[in-house]
Amino acid sequence: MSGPSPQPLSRAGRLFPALLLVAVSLCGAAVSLGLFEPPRAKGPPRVVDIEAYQFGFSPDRIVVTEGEEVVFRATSIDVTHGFYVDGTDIKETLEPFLTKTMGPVVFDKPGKLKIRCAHFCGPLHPFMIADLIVESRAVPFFPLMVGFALLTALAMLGYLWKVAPSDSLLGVSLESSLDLFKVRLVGPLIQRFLSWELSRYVLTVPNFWLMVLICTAAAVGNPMGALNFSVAIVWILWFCLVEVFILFGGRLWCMVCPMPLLGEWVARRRIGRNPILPARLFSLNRKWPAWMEHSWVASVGFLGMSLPIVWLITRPAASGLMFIVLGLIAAAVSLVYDGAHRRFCDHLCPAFYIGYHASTSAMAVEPRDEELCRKHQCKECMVGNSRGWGCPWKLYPGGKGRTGAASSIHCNLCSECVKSCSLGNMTLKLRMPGREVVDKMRARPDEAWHGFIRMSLAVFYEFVFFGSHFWMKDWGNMSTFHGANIATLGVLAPDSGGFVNWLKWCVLVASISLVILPAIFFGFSALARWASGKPGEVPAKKLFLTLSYALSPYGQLLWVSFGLTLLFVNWAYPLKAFASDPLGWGWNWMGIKALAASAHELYSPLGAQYLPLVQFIFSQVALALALQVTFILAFKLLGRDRTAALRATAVMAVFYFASTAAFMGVFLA
Amino acid sequence: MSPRRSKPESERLLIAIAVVPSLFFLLFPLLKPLPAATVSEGRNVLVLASAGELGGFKPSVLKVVAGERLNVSFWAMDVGHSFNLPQLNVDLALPPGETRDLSFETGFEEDAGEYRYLVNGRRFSFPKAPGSPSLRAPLVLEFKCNRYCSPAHWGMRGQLVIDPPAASSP
Repeated sequence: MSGPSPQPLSRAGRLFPALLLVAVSLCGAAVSLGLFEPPRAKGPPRVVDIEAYQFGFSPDRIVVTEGEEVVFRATSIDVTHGFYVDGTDIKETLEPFLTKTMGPVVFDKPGKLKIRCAHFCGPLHPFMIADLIVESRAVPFFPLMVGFALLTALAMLGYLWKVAPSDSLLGVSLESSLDLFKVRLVGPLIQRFLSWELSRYVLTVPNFWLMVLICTAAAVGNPMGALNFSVAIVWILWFCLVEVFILFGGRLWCMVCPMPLLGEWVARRRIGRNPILPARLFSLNRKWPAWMEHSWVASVGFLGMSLPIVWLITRPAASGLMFIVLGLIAAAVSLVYDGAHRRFCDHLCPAFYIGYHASTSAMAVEPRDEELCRKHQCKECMVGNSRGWGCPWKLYPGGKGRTGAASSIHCNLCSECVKSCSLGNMTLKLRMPGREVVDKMRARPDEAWHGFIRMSLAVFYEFVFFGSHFWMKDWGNMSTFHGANIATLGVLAPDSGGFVNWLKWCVLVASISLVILPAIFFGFSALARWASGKPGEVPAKKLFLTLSYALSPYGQLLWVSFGLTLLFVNWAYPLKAFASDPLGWGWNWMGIKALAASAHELYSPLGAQYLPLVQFIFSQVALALALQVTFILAFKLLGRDRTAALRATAVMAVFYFASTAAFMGVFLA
Repeated sequence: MSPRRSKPESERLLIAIAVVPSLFFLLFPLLKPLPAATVSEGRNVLVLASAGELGGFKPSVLKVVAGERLNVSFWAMDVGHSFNLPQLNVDLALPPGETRDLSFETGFEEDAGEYRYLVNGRRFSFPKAPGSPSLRAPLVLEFKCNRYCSPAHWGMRGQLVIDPPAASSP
């Protein structure tokens, strides 16, 4: 791939995007850390009356002015709640109907802080939040931050117009990659480990134990989600780490996933060792139906999992039943359909979004030399030999398109090909994140909708879990109050009003992510096609579907920013669950209950007042990366014409800027 | 060449490594919740306090024979509750996730006309039934949760039952 660049680039020109993002981040930091501090206001402190209820505050949005002294007067109108304000010393327990006065406190940095419940008050306790907006005296805070986003978009367009080569991503060449097996000292160790027949066993079995513990805890553990291993580990720790890991490790989580293990062990009749050929698999070996050769079930499955998400991730019973059902489906699929081909992961798993975004990731299993793969007729990497089972997804490393350099979507990094390749051609590579997305010249509606669903749900999750709108949480939660384990499953049944609310919620979420967002995106892509001046070059549908791959890095970065918020606020629950008390039964393993319990009791989110800044930086990188990827995709689609590509990108920039501003509106305004 | 040889010994070991810790986790439910109780002598009872829908006080009937000392650890496993026993003038707040201890010193005395239970220094007297002077009814004290905790808060209640000592019955 050789992109014509208008002139030889200076080093500064090449690194422009990186410099731009650093500059915008610094500006954002300067503003939200209050480096331009105005004089304080004089006068009596302002008294803010606030009521706490399950699971929200009223009023849910309080606006104060920078430098103003504020006194909070809070009352719980149902159960015992807590009162915690980000970035202050305020941390109080609100016993029912006893009004507590806190403060005065001065807010001298503009921005958005959150008032949180600091006392366990029920399943939705971690998400009981009110907004506290600190208005700047000088420049309105939120418009200023949106101005920075506009600056990012315009500067990126200028960069794309003036200097951007089409073979680099944010200034770094797309072809740069690092063969991890050749890294000094560590490389041979990684290679030896991945070639070892028990490497997958060693990685997956601890997770198998944890999955058993998760199901046990879900069955009999503490009915309150965050105090139960199943919810604290899966929906706080795993949910965050998986988003972060996709960027650096691709489907590393799929590599260690315990879900398909049962089926695989039964089908292979071996759990650790390599096959003794000819291995006959214990499976009915039915052919996978042709009409299921897509990932629609997976993408809509993720949406389906997200519809009851508020309810699901706060109830151990619901989560536990979901894992048990998924594990059984995975096992059944292995035993009925072609046992050597793990169909569940590609077509059914609701976490297949990890695969969709892995095309953005920095790590992949790739051949050193694709030509060698093509010449090597026996395809042991696919069918297996005595050293390895062969690719469970039947990917062909020598092929272009579905496989080879474009296979990260389906490749779970299981390293069976590394084991079985007798030529030592397969390796683990670090590559430029996004390197694979710009090669995606295919147009697959199922993957495009994965992008739409993931992007709209990133905004939704942020809005529901960390927003202050109680009605939204309540609709998603089916208006229920109780946590439950499997032993007390009965209390989870919502009343009819709650169920109707939840149906409204389903219609809202599903129509936005399945219809409205794709329609808007289609509108913009059609406009981009017209604006490019070369509409004959590519059909509207193909342009629409292909440009949607820019949502892979974009959505991923939004999710990373959501995941970090989740973990930094709620870090104490997984720590407590892992280290001292998995069932939430008051145990004290390892003697660190004191630490974990105090963290839980005192409820100390880590640096919560800086989280909006972190999210701001992530959203700016997402915006820049989306424009860059759109530009390269448009460049390739529109007959390698820079001007046409730039015009198309400018239209799409409006879409990405607007959606970034909307996302910023959720966590900043 | 035989396609199916017997499993190598190490395969059994691997299966054991995968399965044994899993069984260990599966046996967790057999263990009891163990909040750290600070009172250690006498009869010790752990009471889980959870929202009425989830069972309220478990166990909800605390039995002791007069003359013994009953140590109770209350552990609020979900939200905040309280242990309220008006007749003993007790209202103990139970913050979520924490353990609170309470003990009941009980005693029993009787004379010709009546028998008395003593609980933490308070006296509860009953006249003896004229027809059957050896009949001793147990003392039943109702307790309840006194902090609103859920829609079924009103059903979160129980009984402290103090039986007469065996020696006192003829």
